[in-house]
Amino acid sequence: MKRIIANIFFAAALVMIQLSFVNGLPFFLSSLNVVLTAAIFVLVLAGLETALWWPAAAGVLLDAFSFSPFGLHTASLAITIILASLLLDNFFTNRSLYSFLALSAASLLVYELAVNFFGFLAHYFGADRFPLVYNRLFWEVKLWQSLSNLIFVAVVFYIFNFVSDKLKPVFLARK
Amino acid sequence: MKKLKGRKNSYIIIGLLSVLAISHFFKLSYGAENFLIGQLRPISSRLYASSAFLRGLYDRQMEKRDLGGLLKEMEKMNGQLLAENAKLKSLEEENRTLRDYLNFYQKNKAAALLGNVISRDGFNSLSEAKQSFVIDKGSRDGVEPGLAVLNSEGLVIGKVVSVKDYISEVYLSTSPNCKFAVAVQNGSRTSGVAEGDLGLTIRMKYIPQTESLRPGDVIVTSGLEKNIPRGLVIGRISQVNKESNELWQDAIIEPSANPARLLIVSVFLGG
Repeated sequence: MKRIIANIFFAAALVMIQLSFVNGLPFFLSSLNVVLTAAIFVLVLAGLETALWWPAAAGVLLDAFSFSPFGLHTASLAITIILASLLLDNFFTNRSLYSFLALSAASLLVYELAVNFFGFLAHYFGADRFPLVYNRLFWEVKLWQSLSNLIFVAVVFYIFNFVSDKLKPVFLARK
Repeated sequence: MKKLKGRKNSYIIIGLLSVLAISHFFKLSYGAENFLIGQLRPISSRLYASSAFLRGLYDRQMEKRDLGGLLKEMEKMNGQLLAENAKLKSLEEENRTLRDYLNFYQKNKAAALLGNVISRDGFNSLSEAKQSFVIDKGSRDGVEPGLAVLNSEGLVIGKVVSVKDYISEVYLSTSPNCKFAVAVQNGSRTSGVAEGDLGLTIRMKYIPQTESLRPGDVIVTSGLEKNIPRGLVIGRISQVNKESNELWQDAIIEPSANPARLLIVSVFLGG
């Protein structure tokens, strides 16, 4: 129970940092998604059952503060975490930097697809008045976003490795 | 056993999310959501202030690069503005006297509401083309969609598009989804529609070919929109696009206000 409450508070704090601090930074830094990155780290370190609390806390708070249709961020985060969990169990089984980067890239892609899919549905059914604009600028922004997030993941990975042994590879030495 | 517990946990979360979605749909959770937003607004405001400070430092560093060219341009503009200011002051004096004589003068009782910027669009916005920010004033403070948002100098920076009880979403005037009914401050008061162009400038559309526009002309709101009075400055024309085979001509407007470092804005509530 303590772990769940701690996760909910951590998620809520990160949402506030994402919305009010990160989004206001200059372009390259403002495209970081600290909430998703943290959720992926929680998934790798603590497992799906803990990570699933993130959509419930972070998603709901993101939805409360955003003006997109309610549930869009919650649903997108939940789908991303479930799919990332499947990838983690079946493909990226070792905890190396490369598998972390691949998992983060895949999660980012899934999250973006989910957000845009639900956004498109909302627009189609009239819940959102403004159409999504898929012009050159959109794709350029997404490209920079992916790059900045992958750099961020690598930095966090190394910092985490420096302070903890949880992500360090284990070798069995013959004596 | 662990797997069973994990599955039970997942069911609890899915159930919780379903309850949240249903209660939002039937507006049962609005109270809780508003309470949450209301409590977190001061934190958001402080966080945004520190973020804007860092952004300001970065922008200033970038601006230093071409400061020389900018200085020359500013000196030239300063001369023009001084001459224009002197002319405007005499016009203002004349206007005041005329209003007194005709008994038209009324003290401007237009109400404005100050709000803190608490978030900008970023990763979580659906489309970068939206170009919006969120302020900590909502429908409970009297804000409604369609109101103009101004900076401290009284220049238009955007328009309120959506409101919740305690927060509102403002689209920048450079956003393609933000439109204003505008007029040119020239002899014929040419009117048209201004909408954001690629998030960088504003494009004034639907100007008849017969109208004469010049770069440097000031664009103001025309007063044809509900709740937005005429005369609020949006920007200056930087380029006029006139093709003889087109039905309309259009003009590129350079916005007067820079929204990058905004912390406090005012919402024009009307007279």
